[in-house]
Amino acid sequence: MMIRIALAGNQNCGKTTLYNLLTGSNRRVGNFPGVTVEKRSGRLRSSYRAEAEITDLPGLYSLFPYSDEEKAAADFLLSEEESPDALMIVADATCPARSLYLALQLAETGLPAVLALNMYDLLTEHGGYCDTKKLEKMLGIPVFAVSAVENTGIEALVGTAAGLEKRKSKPDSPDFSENAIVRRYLNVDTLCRECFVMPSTDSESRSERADRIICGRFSAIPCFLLFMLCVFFLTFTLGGGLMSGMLGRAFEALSTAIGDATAAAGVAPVLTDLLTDGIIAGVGGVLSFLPTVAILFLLLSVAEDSGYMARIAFIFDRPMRLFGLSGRDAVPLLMGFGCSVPAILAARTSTSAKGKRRTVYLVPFFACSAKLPVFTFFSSLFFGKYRIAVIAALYLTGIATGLLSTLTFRGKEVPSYMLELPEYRLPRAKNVLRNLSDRCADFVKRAFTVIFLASVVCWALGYFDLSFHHAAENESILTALGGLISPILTPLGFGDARLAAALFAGLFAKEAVLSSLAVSPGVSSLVSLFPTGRSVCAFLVFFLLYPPCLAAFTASKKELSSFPRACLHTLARLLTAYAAAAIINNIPI
Amino acid sequence: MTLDKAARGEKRRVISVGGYGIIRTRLLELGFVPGTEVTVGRRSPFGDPVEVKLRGYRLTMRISDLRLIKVERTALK
Repeated sequence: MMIRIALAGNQNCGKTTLYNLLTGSNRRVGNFPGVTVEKRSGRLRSSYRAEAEITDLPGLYSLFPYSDEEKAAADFLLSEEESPDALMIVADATCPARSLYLALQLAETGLPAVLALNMYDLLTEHGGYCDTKKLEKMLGIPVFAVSAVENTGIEALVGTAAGLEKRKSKPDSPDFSENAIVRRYLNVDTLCRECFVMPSTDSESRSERADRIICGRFSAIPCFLLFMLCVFFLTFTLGGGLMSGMLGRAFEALSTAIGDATAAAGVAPVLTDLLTDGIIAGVGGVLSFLPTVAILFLLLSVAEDSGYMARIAFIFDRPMRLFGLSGRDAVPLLMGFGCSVPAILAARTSTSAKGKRRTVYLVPFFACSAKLPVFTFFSSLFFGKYRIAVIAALYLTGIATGLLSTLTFRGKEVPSYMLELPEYRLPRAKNVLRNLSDRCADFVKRAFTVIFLASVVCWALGYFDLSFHHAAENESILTALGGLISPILTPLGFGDARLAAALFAGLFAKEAVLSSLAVSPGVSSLVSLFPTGRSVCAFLVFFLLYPPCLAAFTASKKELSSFPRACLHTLARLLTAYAAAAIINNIPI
Repeated sequence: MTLDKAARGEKRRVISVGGYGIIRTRLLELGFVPGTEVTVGRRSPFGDPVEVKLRGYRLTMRISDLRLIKVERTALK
């Protein structure tokens, strides 16, 4: 059996960059890999001429768990069966004290280990130095000065790590008593004094100077608003307008070409209809929003990688406390603008069970990128030049409704907050692109699975009548089925069967609302489905607030570890959406 | 005196850490052990949390947690 090595280290020590460097494309990712949320594993790149399986752990300060995420990592490291054969401890050379504290703890587990002193180039660049030979002797494990970014020193590190002897026994749990902690820090002080020459830190670092503005008393909020404005501006104009528009026209052209070709070849009209009005209209309609979604993910990933997300947590901790949350919970919420699923999974970084439940409930109110195509489509159709204002209002309505509804949660104690402010750094293009390509691949996969299926089913329901003949207008199966649900929706102003069917499809994937409308017959006159402008608003608000897709429900169930509680959340969302839409449609303002 | 009383930019030395349970362990593990030098930094725009520099890194924490940390002035040079 090949040796299994786990990468363990603090947050922001460059662990992800090192992991990407070691594993290249030989990686195995779960369904929804968060930035540091899931346990990710991969085979060592073949160019290192050594065999090992590398597992990336979430960032840790200690093996004493403070959040579910840290608990998962600690449990994994200390369990008899699952624990890796050996450890590669990743330390930040520019901040040795904090890294060495964890390293000492990890060494106490008795697992065979090597220490990668990462970002060594940054240490020497500022006039610092480390006597690695001495450190090695004092720690009792091999030490390598490396830089994952510059790809220096990695060969030697990997060679030694892959050649480590596998652990023979169950790892020991370190001592967490006060005496043990103080003793460890005395050791850390000795190691730092004896082995490190640190650059002088009298002057303010570049990050601190940047934080004067970015976290400044009067400039922090304008900076944040500017950041959000940039995110949405780029998403809408570059992604939504330009690239998505081009893709959309390409799919239309494809649809016409296929229609002409099959007609010329004498293919049965039902097949032509399935291809053009079913599959291409549905799948293509959703795929054309890929650029929009990709740009949104790209920007969120850049914010995370650059260190700005930590600042957002710092800035908003106090206001978040009003809602029983800590600043740390702001990160999953903002990720919710991308996709609810990784955002819900990221709630496991929360420091209390109550805080986590609130975050899980709140995330879907931060409208995900799959809702964006629907907002864009409807608001361009109905509100013309006011469309951006309408979309912005929808986003704000979602956030406000979510925050207000957390006030009904019982228990007011607030999760604790302690967070490191990492140095700002340029996001690594490779890390960002890798994250982005995973998300895009997922989006495309959904387009060809869930959306494909939903499109074909919706098309068939709309195309055939109850005796499976080509249906005349208003006699299709869809109309019959929708007729059952639509009385419930009529008070909201959008009782049409096709809209009911589209909303139902949205429970599997939000973007399916659009695809199922696109394949429903007679929807070229979408405008006629809504009696008033007010009913369009009611529809959009209902769509904004009603339960998230099945994947997000599954993620909630997993994070809440309770099926009834996840169902309760779903019911609450449904009632909220219904009430909000009813108010908008019926109460004159 | 406790750390929340220290003004921005003032250096202090940790005497002891109060509180109990998880919070106490966490404070110790983050490096607030007796003898450690800490400097209070900027406040968040809403007044709380506050930045604290220790052991070469920047931590942000709430004022209520700073109250748990007893400190003394460092000897003047």
